[in-house]
Amino acid sequence: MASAGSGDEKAAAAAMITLISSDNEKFEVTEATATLSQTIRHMIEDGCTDGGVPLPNVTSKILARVIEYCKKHATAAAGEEGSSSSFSDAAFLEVDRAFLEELEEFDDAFLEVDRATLFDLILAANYLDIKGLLNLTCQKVADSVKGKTPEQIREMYNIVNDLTPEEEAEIRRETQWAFE
Amino acid sequence: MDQRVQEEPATVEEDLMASLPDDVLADVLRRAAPRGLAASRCVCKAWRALIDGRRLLRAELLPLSLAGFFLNFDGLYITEFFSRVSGEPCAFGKHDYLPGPVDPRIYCSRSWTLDCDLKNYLAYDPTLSPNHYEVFAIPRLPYKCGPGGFCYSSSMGELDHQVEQSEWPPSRCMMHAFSSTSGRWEERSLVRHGEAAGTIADMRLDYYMSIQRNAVYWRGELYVTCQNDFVMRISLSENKYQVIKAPTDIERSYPYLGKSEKGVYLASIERQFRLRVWILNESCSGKMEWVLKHDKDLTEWLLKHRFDKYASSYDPKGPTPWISQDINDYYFKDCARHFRNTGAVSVEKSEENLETTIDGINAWRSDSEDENTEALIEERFEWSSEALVDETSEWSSINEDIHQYNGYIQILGFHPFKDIVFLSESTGGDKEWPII
Repeated sequence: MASAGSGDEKAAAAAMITLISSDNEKFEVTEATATLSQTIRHMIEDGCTDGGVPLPNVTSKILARVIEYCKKHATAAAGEEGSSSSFSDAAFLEVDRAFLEELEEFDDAFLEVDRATLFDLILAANYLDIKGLLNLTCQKVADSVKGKTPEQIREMYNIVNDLTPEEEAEIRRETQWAFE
Repeated sequence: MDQRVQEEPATVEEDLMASLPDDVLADVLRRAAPRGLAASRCVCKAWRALIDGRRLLRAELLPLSLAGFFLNFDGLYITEFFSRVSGEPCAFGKHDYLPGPVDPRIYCSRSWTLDCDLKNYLAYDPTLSPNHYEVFAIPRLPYKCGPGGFCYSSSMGELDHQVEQSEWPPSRCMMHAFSSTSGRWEERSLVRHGEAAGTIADMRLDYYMSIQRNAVYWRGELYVTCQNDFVMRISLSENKYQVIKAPTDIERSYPYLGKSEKGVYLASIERQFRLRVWILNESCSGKMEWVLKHDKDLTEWLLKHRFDKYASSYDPKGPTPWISQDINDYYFKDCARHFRNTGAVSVEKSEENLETTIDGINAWRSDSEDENTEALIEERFEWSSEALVDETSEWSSINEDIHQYNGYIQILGFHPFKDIVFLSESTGGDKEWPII
């Protein structure tokens, strides 16, 4: 996490927010990092973050990973704009290529987690409304069904097949092109 | 039953997917490619319901191939299926599966009653719900020749002034709809959102009222071309409809409504040779408008190729030809028997030669008198824009005056997923015209 340091220092004067995980662990982050989450951004706007933001749906293990993601991506935004005030897609487009590549590498490495963690990250990203992280994690799961048969998908995710053989035959007939 | 070898991890994982809220699971599946999505549809009931309910498997993105398409010719009752010659069983264009016509042919509002003509339109998308379809009977107001028209008479078909000035279509539009689920015609009350197309008097001036106009069923909405070229967009699930007015500068030319790559299209041939194509822009909130996409004078191209002069003969060594079944030929024979039995049309005695004895019906038949009813139409081009640069066919000087040109252009239809419109010429040749 050392690599994310320089951006943070610049923003050190900015307000700090305390996030509290479900298992009561406290994480202190800059506002720029925290506001990647729309949920937290709204709480800050409403002025209800004094005394920390409790996140009862997110464990400390997952929250640490989420913060790692937000720090990296907030740095990307701050580094580009020279201020930590806002983060937008437009800002991203301007970032030079090398930095984007670095960010991509970070994302790839970030996704190297076991399946249970990946799903916890999706749930956290959904709850905290972090668009980039949700995109990233959902795409990873979507990619996992690529080229798989229904049986393989069920096996991979321990899904019980509750379709009758007739129903299954019917579905296959409807989209036969996909099973050829 | 399932003899699957136990290769699963020792620790039995919970069903992770089930831990995701529906919105998130939909978000995940939405990102899968069509093939993966189709496989996912077959995983379990919940997934199928989610993918179908949110229409994640978008029909227009599927890897389809074009087997053929249905086309309607003016004056022919039954839709013809136009396809490549193949050994496969051919689709049948005679949609005679509906129980009898809606009765009575009367259209009512709270304050008045009108005798309308009804035209049936099918709302069916096999990729969304293969086992269900609906048919809407859309009312058409009777034609009334306006002042200056050759058949004008002030008293003819005159309705009460108040009725004539009423909005059309009405703010609450009662319609008959046939549901394949119930197997019956039912009354549907549709509420109009937005403006009406005009008054009843306006609509009645449309000379083409008796023609079955085109309709498109797309993403749960039925689009029907109505009198004065306005389009009625019916939201089936919400029982509401909207009027989409014709492009303001369109010349009254009985435009063709269709569906292609980018949604709903409107094409018209104006002043005999000007082809214009619009795409319906539905993006801006609630307001729909036609955006001109293509405007081309075909004169030069037509003169260059002179299909009217060099109506080429079918070359058996050429690419696989496209044929239409000419099903209308069969139909009219049936029709003749039917009329004979019901006495609706008087038929001369000759039983062997029914189709030539019925006035009017004979006139509609194609000029192929033989019993081999497959009309061969040469496939002149590949279906791509390259057709535009096809220079191999014979052509005469562009300097020829267009007045010498004998052809007459009509729109056959749109390619379902490429920006191509198919045109036909009265001289018998068919051609395709890419929109871009």
